[in-house]
Amino acid sequence: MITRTLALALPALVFLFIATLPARLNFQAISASALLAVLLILFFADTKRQNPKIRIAISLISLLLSTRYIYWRGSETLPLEFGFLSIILGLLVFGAELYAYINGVLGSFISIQPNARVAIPLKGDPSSWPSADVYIPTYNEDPHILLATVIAATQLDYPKDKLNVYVLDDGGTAQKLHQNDTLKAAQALARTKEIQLICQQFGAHYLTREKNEHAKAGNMNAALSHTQGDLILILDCDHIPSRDFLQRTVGFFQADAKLFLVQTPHNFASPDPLERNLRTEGISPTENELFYDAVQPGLDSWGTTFFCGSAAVLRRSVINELGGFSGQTITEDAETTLDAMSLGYKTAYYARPMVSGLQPETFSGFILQRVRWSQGMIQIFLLKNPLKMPGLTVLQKLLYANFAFYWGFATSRLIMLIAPVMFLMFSVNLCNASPPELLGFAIPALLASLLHTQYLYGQVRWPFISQLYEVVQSVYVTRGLYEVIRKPRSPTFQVTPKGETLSSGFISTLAKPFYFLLLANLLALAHAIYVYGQPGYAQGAILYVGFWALTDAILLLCALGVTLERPQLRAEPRIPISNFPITAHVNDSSAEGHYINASSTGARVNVNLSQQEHQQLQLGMKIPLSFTQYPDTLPTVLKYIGPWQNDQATLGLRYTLTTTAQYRIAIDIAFGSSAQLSLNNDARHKGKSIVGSLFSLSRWAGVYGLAHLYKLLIKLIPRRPQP
Amino acid sequence: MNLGHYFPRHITQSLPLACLLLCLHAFSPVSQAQAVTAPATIQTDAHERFVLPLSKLLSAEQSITLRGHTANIDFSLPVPDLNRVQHLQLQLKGVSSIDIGTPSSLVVRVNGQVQGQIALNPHAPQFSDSITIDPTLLKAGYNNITLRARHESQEICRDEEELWTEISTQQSGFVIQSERLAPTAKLSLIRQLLDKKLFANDIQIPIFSAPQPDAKQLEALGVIAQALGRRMDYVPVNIQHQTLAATLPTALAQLAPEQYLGLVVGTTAQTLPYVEHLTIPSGTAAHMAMVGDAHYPGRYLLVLTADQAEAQLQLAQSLMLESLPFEQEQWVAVTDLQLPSPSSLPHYNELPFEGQVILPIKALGFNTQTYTGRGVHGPVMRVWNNGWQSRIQLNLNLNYSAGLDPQSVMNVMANDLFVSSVPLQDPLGGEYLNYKVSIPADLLQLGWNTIALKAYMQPLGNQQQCHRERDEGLALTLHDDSSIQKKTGPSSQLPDLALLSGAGTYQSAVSGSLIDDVVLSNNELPLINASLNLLAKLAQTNPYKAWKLISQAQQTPSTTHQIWLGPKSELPENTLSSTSIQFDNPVELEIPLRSARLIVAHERFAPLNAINNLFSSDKKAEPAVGLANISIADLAQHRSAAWTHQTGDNTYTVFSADDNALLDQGIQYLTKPAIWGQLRGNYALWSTESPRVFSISLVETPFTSYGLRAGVGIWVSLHPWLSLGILLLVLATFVALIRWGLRIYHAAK
Repeated sequence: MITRTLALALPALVFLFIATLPARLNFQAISASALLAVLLILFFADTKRQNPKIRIAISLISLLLSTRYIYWRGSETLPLEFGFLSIILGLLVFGAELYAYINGVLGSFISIQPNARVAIPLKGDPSSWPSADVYIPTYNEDPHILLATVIAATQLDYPKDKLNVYVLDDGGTAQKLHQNDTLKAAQALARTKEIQLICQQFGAHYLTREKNEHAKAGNMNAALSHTQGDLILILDCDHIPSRDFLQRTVGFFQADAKLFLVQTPHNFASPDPLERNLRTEGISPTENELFYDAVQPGLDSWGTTFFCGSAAVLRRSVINELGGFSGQTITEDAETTLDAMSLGYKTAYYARPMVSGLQPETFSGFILQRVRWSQGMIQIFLLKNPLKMPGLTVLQKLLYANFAFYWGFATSRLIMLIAPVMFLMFSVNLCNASPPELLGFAIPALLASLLHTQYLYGQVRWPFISQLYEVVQSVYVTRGLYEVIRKPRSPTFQVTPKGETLSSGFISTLAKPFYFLLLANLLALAHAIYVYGQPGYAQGAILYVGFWALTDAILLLCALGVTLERPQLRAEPRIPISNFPITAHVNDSSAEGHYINASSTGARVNVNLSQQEHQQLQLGMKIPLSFTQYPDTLPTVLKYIGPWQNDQATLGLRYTLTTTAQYRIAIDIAFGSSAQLSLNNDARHKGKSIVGSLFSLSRWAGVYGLAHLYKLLIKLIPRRPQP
Repeated sequence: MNLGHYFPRHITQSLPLACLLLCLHAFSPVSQAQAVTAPATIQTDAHERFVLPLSKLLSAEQSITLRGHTANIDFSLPVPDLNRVQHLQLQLKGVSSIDIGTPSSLVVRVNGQVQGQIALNPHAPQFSDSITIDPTLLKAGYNNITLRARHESQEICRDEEELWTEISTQQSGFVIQSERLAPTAKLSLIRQLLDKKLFANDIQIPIFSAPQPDAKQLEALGVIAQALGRRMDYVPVNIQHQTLAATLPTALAQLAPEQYLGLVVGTTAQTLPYVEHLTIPSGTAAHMAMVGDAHYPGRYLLVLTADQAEAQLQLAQSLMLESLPFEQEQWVAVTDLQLPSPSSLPHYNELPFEGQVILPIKALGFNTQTYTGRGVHGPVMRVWNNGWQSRIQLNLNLNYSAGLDPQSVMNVMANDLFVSSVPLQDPLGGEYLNYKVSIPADLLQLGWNTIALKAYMQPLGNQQQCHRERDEGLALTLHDDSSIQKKTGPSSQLPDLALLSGAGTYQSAVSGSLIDDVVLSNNELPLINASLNLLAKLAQTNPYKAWKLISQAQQTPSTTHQIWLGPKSELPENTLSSTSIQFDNPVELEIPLRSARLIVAHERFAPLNAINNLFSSDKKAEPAVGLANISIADLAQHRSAAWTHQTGDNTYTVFSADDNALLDQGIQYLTKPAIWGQLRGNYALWSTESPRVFSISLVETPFTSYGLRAGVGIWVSLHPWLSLGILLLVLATFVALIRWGLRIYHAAK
């Protein structure tokens, strides 16, 4: 133990010694420039991002430069001599920077050697395999969303006698059905009947309970008394599993008796509001991919993977030992993992996307979800402080505390949005440093951090997109954090609305704070331009902070673009499908073709047609599809005819499903293959350069941000009464 | 008269010595006897002649230069209250530029009246002339003297820099013949006799007292010495301690020709011969009286009489008052003088200052001033810095006139190194409010620093053209509410003799108390004399500090900072720590070569200091000391030495010589102005036969206090490229180590 502590502590001390070494600015400038050059060489030398030595070296260089910066900021530049306001704001800005630094250090640590697990094949005779229950908790979602999940769950590739699918309906509890509001009671009853019918039709069990107590955790705990499976696969009602989910995850449990959890990525088929409103869907990696493709593998390497509420398999015996799912907080998933880990159980993360889920469609839904997550994590920290929890290793304690710490980004970002305004407009000194010092310390640290982030996460997160996500969440998550810190037990579980359709575009009501922040930054910029060059104003500082304010203004304009909701007419997202052959039966003749994309209710296909056949196509005509893999055909109706090109045409088809088998085929084609989901994700992982991303940000700000402001202007101008 | 109301207000308004005296409870004439109804001032037969070089009046050692088409210098000629000038002549010697044209002149004005002029001739640039000044123009007090040079240019656009007149301050000056006045003896004479407006270079004051003073008497003598020092402000005070003479005429006869005042300190019995003609009621506990004798016109004795030791001390303390109540009386009784405790005294901010303080530059003696014309103008300020890595920030308030060329600037210089420019670039004129200039740590040095503001003003338009009238429109006003702010770093902890001589903060650097002990190793007269002269000087250079004079034999010192006087053989061991001084020729010193000391960094954020203190258990560690022998061969006889060092929490400053008499001579010599300023360092040696004081200083360097870390910091700063190579190697090693560590970690899983 002492040897290990020394082995860790000594290099850390040497590193700190170097990072805090007092030296003249010339050495700082020379060393920072040289280190940046080395970092750049390493960055371009490892384009595949797979060389562990380079990964460590880049992390170290970035860490060294940022540690020198933050030490210099803390020891040399705090504006403690310029009055009360300056002290308060200066400390806040430094706090925000310190927060970012600590977050960066922890991020580097987590990602130093991500764990890339491969599936462990199931051993032994299928009769010896553990039995598995699939829990699909639901509350008020549309039964149509549930339908695809139930179908996919019931056709998981696993012995049928070992597989039981349970729909845990909290919308059909006695409390809901007999509520005082008769209309709502009637709606709940109708929904319940519809779900019961789905269960009956596709071989799932319907479970409900008397009262809606303890939200999702209570719902699942109630189900425990009705089920007996060795393993529990938990799926949110919109998380449609691929066929091989259990085949690829149960093997881990056979290999390790102490394993409690195998978590897999939450893969989303629909874009979040940011992707949708900035038109980056299908091009840029989705937000969660940073977490599931980069952070979770890193956490897994340190044994701290945690349960994310869905798309995970859990060992039933451990749940029993815990006395059920933990429900003290509104993030029962992380809380349950923490409890299991404290008993000495392990967790694993398998990075293959094997569910297709839905993101919240609206900005308000997105904020609702994020505020719940942030409050839940802070609740865990306040009510079940991981740092004090027995049975956890030091690393687990540290990294679990980090999950709560992570949400500080919102306040940190808010400070960063306000700080340049205070300097440029009111001359509040925030950092007592000269421009050469900023050049020597701040710029190298900033560039190194950018390159480091781009190296670690460039494939799953475009540069500056994180900042944009932070900006759009900053105000509301900060408010949420304040509320939960004030009253840790007050937040209640708010279900994220999903599967909504938006008939027309509108400005989100949550956009208001961004108007004020944008206006303040623009005024500050205008003031900076006005005073630049005037005597008494430090040009270097104005340039530096002015660039900061400009960046903030661009991010805020992008945030306005995000809050301008686009119409969303299709409730079901389409999944891109590749190499899936079909035979389309058009006017008594058969045409070979393949899928372009598919959902549970329709598809877009490409078929080989002569020009004459193409001309004979008519909207509304029936075009059944047959497959080599399936005995049945899928009846469809033609809804779209693409232009004829190279003896081919693209057709938009709507399924007209009638039988259970047809439903099963449609779900299997769209969501059944995890290989297809991986392929789709890989297509978005091409990355983007820092310059390219800056350009995109500017474009979004200029196009969508200004469109928002234009729409706002139109809305504010009183209309003339119609004659 | 309601004394209770009168005195507190009076004292508050008039005393800079409020740190010592805040409240005088009772100070009353027991009788109105001997009241003088009319000032009876007579003239003595003494006609005195003085020569006052301009170097003394202008504080300029060598010369002054008057540059430009017109230039003038103003200064004051002090005339003592008790001197009547009978004849005054100003001798001026200097040289003019050969580029000036004719007629050029140097005009002398006294209190606004032109008293003469000297024609400046480019063909005979050297000039030496004397101007007789009408003595009736002079008044007692400070008289304004103006030397104004008017330079014509030989060419139309001659550069102003080439038009100058230089006046030698050593060879120019006033020759004064004056007559000494002899007013009737009364207490108000204390002010006139202890007058810093002095023609002589110093004032000599004998103090008559018992040959072997007890502890309280000694303390009282110490207070009297400090009171004399403070009353004389910057004028050197030469005190001679003598035993009591038998009668008043005898004592007056003992005064040297240049001595006009003596002090008598004693009991009623001892001073009775001096004051018996005053009819002081018997039983008066303590009183002070001014006495004289018709046979010795112009000479006076101030008699301080008290039978009780405490009353003696009170009498001495009352002498600290700048002006006394009942000054028109010849004597007053002093009873029940109440003084505040030192701990209740307010904290005085002064420059040099300690800690993080912001002060207006008025505190540095600078008053709002307007600078006009092209060329270089501006104040030079001295600031004490006792902290490594301290920074100074100036917040300047200034405005400037229209018509300045955009190239006009006011440069800020620190220790003659450029720091920053304040642009004066708006042709329409402008003003700055709190214009911030930060002076970085590396431009400041430990000790005194000079901060100069130099305005370079140029008129708008073609610089090649010469329009003198435009130059006169150029103006810049620097306001004295501009402020100076010091941001502290770790403070220097080593004591230094310069902190005694340099007007300043030795007490705040190494000692927190307002009153320190001055300890005599014996009670001999020469040593007492030495201590009184030292105290008078200390009181002048450290205005917010007081000392208690004690004798080693009578009292044990208790303050953390102690000043010791005595022959080396009598000094206790702890005052000699790591110091061995032999007074043989050559002198040998054993001094620490290097001193390593843990310095507790003073954080700007106060709670951090508390945290630091928690982890700074070693802060009382003794310095690590190495020894070396140093020979100073050219020191002649009559040597004295001073050294200062810190042992544990105590700081000892020692003045020593082979014997009491030598030390007395040494201190009298050391307290002369040109010598006292040389006292600095940790060790100082001087001889009465040499104009030099040899000093040895332990040099603190900014990073020594940080040990290894900062040492490496200096090294990498000096060798950036080599350091970079090493840094890359270290990083490569780290990469290998982390890889190895991760392998072990995952294998263990």
